[in-house]
Amino acid sequence: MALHEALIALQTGCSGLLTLKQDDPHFKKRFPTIPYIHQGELEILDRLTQIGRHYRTLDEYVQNILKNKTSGLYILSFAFELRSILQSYLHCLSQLEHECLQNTSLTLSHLTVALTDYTLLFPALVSLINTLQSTGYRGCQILDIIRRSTLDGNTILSSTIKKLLCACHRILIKQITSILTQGQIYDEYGEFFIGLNNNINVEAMGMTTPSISRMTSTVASRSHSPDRERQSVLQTPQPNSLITPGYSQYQLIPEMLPSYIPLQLADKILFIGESWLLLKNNDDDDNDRKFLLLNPIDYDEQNHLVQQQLYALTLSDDLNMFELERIIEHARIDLSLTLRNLFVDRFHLIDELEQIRGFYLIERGELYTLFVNRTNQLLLNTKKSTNAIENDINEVFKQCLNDLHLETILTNADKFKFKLNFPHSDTTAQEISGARRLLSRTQGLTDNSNTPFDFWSCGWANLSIQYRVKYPMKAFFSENCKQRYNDIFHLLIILRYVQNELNSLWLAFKNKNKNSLIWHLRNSMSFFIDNFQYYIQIDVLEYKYQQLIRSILSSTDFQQIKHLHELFLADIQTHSFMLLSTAYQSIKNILSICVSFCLTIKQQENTINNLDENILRQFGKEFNDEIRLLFGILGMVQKHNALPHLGVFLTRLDFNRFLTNNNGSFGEF
Amino acid sequence: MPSEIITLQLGQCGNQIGMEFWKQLCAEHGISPEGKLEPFAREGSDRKDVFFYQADDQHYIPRAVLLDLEPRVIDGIMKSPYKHLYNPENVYISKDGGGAGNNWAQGYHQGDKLTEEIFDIIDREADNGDSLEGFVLCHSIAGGTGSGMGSNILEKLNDRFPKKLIQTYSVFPMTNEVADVVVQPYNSVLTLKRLTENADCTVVLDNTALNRIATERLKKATPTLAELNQLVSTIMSGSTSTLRYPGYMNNDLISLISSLIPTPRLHFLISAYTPLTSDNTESEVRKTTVLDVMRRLLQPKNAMVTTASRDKNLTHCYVSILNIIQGEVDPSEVHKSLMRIRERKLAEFIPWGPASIQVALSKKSPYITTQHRVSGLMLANHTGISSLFDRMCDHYDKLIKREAFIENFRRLPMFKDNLDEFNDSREVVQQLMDEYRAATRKDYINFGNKQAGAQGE
Repeated sequence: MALHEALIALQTGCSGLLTLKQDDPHFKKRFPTIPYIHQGELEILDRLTQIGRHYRTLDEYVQNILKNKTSGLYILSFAFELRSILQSYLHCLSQLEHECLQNTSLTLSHLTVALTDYTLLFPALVSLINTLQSTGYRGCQILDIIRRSTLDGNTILSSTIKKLLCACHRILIKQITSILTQGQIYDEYGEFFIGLNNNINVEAMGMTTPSISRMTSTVASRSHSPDRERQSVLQTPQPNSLITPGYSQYQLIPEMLPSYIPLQLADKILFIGESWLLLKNNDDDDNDRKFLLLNPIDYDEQNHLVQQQLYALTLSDDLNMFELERIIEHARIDLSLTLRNLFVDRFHLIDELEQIRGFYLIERGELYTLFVNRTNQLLLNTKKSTNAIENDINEVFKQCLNDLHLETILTNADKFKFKLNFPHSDTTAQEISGARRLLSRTQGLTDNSNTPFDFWSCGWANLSIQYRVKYPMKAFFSENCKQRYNDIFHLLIILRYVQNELNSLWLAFKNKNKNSLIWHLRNSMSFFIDNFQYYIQIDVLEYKYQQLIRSILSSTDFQQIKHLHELFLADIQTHSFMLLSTAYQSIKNILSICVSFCLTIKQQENTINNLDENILRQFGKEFNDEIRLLFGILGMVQKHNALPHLGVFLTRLDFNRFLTNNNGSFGEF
Repeated sequence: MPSEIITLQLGQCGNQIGMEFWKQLCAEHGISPEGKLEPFAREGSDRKDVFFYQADDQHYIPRAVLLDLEPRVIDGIMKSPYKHLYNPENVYISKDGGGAGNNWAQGYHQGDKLTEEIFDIIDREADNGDSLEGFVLCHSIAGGTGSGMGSNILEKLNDRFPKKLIQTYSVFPMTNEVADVVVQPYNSVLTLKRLTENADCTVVLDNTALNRIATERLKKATPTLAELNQLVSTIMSGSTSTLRYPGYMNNDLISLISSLIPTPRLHFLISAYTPLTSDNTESEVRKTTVLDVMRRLLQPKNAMVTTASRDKNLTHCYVSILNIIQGEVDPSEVHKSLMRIRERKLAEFIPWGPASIQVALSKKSPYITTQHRVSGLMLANHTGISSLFDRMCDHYDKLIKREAFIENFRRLPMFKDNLDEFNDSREVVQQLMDEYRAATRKDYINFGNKQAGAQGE
C-alpha cells in the first residue's frame, strides 16, 4: 500500500494520501497519521514525495520548452538532455515498481536508497532551471550559469550537469564550426556571441564629425554600437537563419560571451568569420568574385579537418578549451596567411597603399602644389558646400592630374573624390570665437570694415577626401581608417595651403623690398611651416610608411598587417600632435595667424608702404606668443619622453638655438 | 604643364654650361641626343615637362633659349650629337657676329639693340607653357656677352615678368691671379648690380673654387674647361632634381628659393656637391652615409665659392642651408646627421632669427648608375660671400682709380657723358656687402629700417 502510494508520489508529486500544497513546496499537507503506516515511514514518504514534486517541476519545464519553440537552441538542447535524465529516472522507477511487484516485502527504505542520487540531483536541477527562468538568460548566456553549477563536490551532481553543459556546448561548437568553415552564422534565435551589425554605420555615409572632434577623432567609433545592436538582436530574432552579409558586418556581442571563452579567442572567431565573408563575398563586383573563384586554395579539405577536430571536442564531457583555442588559432593562421597572400599578391595591397599615400598623404607634392595654386581662391571663398563647387574642385583636380601626366601613376583617381564637409554652425561657435577675436583685433586696426575672416570656416579647412573602397579592400580600410586618413589629410592640405600663401607673398614682394618687417615675419612663419611640414611628411610619415611597407612584406599574418596599419595611422596622429589638444590648438592658431597675415598683406599689396606697422607688430606678437606656447608645451612633452620623434621636430625648430636663447620666440617683431 | 622653367644661355660660358646641363638632363630622363625618349625610359614617374616640352612628333625639346653675339660656341653645339635637340628658332646668334669683345658696355648695348628679336623668342617660349614659373639664366659675369647682354636681359625680364622667378647661375671670374680679361673687374661689378637688383636668386659659381675643386677632388693638375662645366651642370641638375623627381616637398622653384632667401637682397647662394667623381676616378669608392654627405657639404673646401669665414672682426655665418639629398635615404639617418652636426657645431648660423639645415629628399635618376648610395647638394646662403665681392671690388677699385682701360667703355652710349654707372654699380655692391655683413649681427632685423630711414633723410 505505502509502496504503491510512494511510487505514484514519485511520478506525480502527490497521491491519495500525500499532497503537497501547490504554491509552497515546504508545506506538507497530509493526513497527520495513517493508522497502518508507521510515523517513520511517513517521513520517508514525505521525502519521496518531494522528489516526485521536483520531477514534476522539471518535467513541466521540459514539456514547456519542447512545446514552445521560441526559447532558442541552447535551452532546447538543455531541455532534451534534461528529458533524458528524467527518462532515466522514470526508467529507474519502473524498475522499482517491477521489483516491488515481485517482492512485496520491500520497504520504503529500499526506494529511498535506490533513489539517493535523485534526492541530491533534483533539487540542484530545480534551482538551476529556476535561475534560468528568473534571469531570462538565453543562448550563450546560459552556459555560464550551467557551468557554475558543475562546480560541485558531488561527482554525480557535477557529472550530470556537465552532461547538460555538454549538450549546450554541442550547439556552441556547431555554431563555431559554421562560422569557422563557412563564415556563416547559424543563429536563428540570436544566441551566438557574434552577431550581425545591421545598423549600417553612420560614418559609412561619408558623414564626418564636426571640425572640433574632426581633428582629434581617433577610435571609439565602434564602441557605441554594440549596446544598441545587442538589444535589437535580443528583441527581434533574425528572421532569416542563414545570413551572408557584406564584409565587416559581424560584431562581437560581449553580453553573450561566456566568461570562460577569452575575448581574444572570440575575436579570432570573429576575424575568421569576417574573412570568410570576404572570401565568398557577394558584393557588387563580379569580376573580383570570379577572381576569387580562381583561388587555388583547397578550403574544403581544410574545412573538413576543422570540422572533424571540432566534432571530436563535443564527444568529451568537458569542453577542452586548450584544444578549442588550438584549433581556432590554427584555422586563423591558415586563413590569415591566405588573406595576406591574397591581399599582398593578388589585390596588390602595396599598390593600393601607394595610391592612398598619393592622395591622402600628399606624396605627389607637385600635384597638390598645382592643385592648391589653382583652387586657392575658390576654396578660400567657399563657405558652404554645394555640389557645383565640389564638382568644380574635382574637375580642377582631374585637370591637374592630367596636366602632370600622373594618370598612369595615380591610377585610382576615380575612387577619390573631394568633399566639403562644413560643420553645423552652432558646433563650431566656440572655436570660431577664438580665431575671430584674434582676427578682429588686427582687422580693427585697419580701416577695412570687412567682416572678420575665419579661416576655419572656409573651404580649405573643411576639405576632405571621400575614398570609395572597393571590395575586397574594404576589409583593410575601415571607415575608421578613412576618417583618420582624412584627419591627417586635413592638416597636410592646410599646411600646404599656408605654405603656398607664404610663398606667393615672397613672389609678390620680391621687387618691393621696402619693409623688412614683412620679410622677417614671413620668413619666420615660413620657417615654422616648412619645418613642421618636413617633420610630418618625412620624419614621421615617410619613416613610418617605409616601416609599414617593410613589415607588410615580411609578415605572414593578415590580421597583423591590419593591426600594423592601424598602428601606423595612430602613430602619425600622435606624432602630429592631433591627440595633444593644447598643442594642436596652438598649431591651428599659428596656421590661422599665418593665413590672416598673408591675406591682410596681400589685400594691401599696392598700398603696402602705408601699412600701419602696428598691424605687423601685432601679427608678430601673436605669432610669437603661440610659438612660445607651443614650444613650451612640446618641451614639457619632450621631458617626459612621450613622443620618440618629437625631438626631431624640436631640433629642427631650434637648430641654431634661437628659440632657446630667446625664450621661445622667433624674434622681436 | 605647370611650373615650367625656361633656361636662357648667354654668351660663351653660358652656352657651354647650358650644353652640359642639357646633356645631363637628357641622360637623367632617358632622352636621346635627338630628343627621343629611350625605350627603357617609357615608364618613368619623373617630370620632364618642367624643362622640356613635347613637339608634335613626341620629341622632347628643351625649354632653352641660346643667345650669343658670336657664333663659335653655338656652332660647336650645332655640330655635336645634340644638334637636333634644340628648337632651332630658339637659337639666336647676332648677325653681326663680332661678339662683345669682353666689354660689358658693348654687350649691354648690343643687348639693347637686339631686345626685340630676343624677346620675341622669350615671349614665344613663355607663351608655350601653361603657367611659367620662372627663368634660369646661365652666364659668366666676366666677359662681354654673358655679363653685358645678360645684364640688359635681366633688367627687361624683371620688368616684363615681375611675378616670375629669375634665377641665375653666374660664373664669377678668378680673383686670385691676373685675369685673362683685363676689364673683368669692371664687367663683374656692373653685372653684380643687375644681379642684385634684378635677379631673385643667384647661384654663385666661383671659377677659383671650381678650379680648386677640380684639381683637388678630381686629382687633375689642369682641369679642362669641359670638366669645370660639368661641375656646374652637376650643380644645376642637382638643384633642380626635386622639381624633376617630385616627392612630398620642394616641388617648385619658389619653395626652394623662398626657404633660402629671407630678405630679397641676400640672394647670392653658394653651392657644394658631394661625392664628385670624374670619368677616370671611378675606382675610388668612398663610404657615403647621409652624415658623411652632409658633413662634407659643410666643408669650405667643397664649396663652389671661396669664402672667408672671418673678415674685419666679424664671423661669417650661414643664413640658411638647403641640402638636397639624392638616393635611397632612411629619414632617420637625416635626423641623426642633423643632431651630430648640431652637437659638433659644424655650421655657424645667424644670430637674428631661427635657422636650420633644411633637407629635401630626392630620387635619383634610375638611368644613371653611380657607385654611391647617396649624393648630396648644398645650396646655402652664407654671409661670407661678401668676401668674394670684396675681392672683386678691390680689383675694381685699383683699376678705376687709374681709370685704366676705360676708353673702351666711353665709346658706348651709356658711358659717353660720364662714369656714373660705374659709381652707381659700385655703390650697389657696397650696399650688398654691407647688408651681408650686417646679417652676421644680432640687430640685422632693424637693418632695413635704418636704411630706409637714412634714405628718407
